[in-house]
Amino acid sequence: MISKITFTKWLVVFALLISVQISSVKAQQVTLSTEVERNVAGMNYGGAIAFANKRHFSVGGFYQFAIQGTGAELRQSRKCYGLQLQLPLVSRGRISLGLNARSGLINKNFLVFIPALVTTLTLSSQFSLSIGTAVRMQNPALTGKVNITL
Amino acid sequence: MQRNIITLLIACTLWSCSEPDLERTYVIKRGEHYASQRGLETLQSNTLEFYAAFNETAVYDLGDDALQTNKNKLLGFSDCNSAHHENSARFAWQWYRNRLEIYAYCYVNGVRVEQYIDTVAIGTKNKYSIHRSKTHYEFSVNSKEVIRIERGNTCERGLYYLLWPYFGGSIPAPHDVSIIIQRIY
Repeated sequence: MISKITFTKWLVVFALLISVQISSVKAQQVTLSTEVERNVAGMNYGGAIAFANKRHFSVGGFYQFAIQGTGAELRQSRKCYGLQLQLPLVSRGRISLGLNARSGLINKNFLVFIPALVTTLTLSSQFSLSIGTAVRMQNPALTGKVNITL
Repeated sequence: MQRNIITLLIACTLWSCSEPDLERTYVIKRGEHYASQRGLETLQSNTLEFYAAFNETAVYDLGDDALQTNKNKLLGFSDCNSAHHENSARFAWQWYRNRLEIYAYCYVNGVRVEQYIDTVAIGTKNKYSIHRSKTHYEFSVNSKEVIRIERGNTCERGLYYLLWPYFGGSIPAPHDVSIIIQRIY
């Protein structure tokens, strides 16, 4: 089935995808986000940085941590960090819909892939709000973000 | 179009806000090996913990001791970047001599290692835990005695995919087998 998928290979594939994205990101905007995620294991908090072009293609990194959890070990840690990319799907007026893919490590050692559908409401040229639906551990997760474009 | 986006947004939000389905019934249909409700999921911490309850469908007679002692798999994970027949740790079970026996079932560098853990009763919910330490898999049922099995030569950082209920061995389920599993996150 899945044989010898190494972490390095996974990183290379994801980095290639991101490099394709970067090549399409010319007029860059840098966006900082703070976020809250409610998932099956509890609440996660974190932030992200993304470099986006005018067509809303973006690449960047994210970091999440948990304050609470129900699992014995998850209570202690559940730090998650990695790379993300976002592809725009539809954009009308102030609302845009995008597909977000994140991949990284959780609890230092465990590779995760987190797909999400993200809707962004642009409030001004600097501020926007996003709400996302992700899949975490085969269960739905809800994400809310406040974005500041520098 | 804007209306469609808003509708989709509301639908996704409602789905995200729904209560997670923590307790799931895995059914292995007669003549099948694999359970329903399998999915692609990865381990996200050093410990896999869950409750499981078997019912009367866990009682079966394959008519031959050699077949009867084939281990059926409950839940577990493949070790770091390994296929599950190379390095993995799972709970296994069998109905043998009128009792439901639980085993630790591992592959260590391609070699199968089985070790009896405990007997559980039909219709009761029991807590199962596999802890992955640097050197061993540590199995326990209802937080009792810990069974330790040495890990193989694997890495630390990478993909650990979950392994779902499976009937067999070589013989598929003689009738529908249901197992209720409640994950602990």
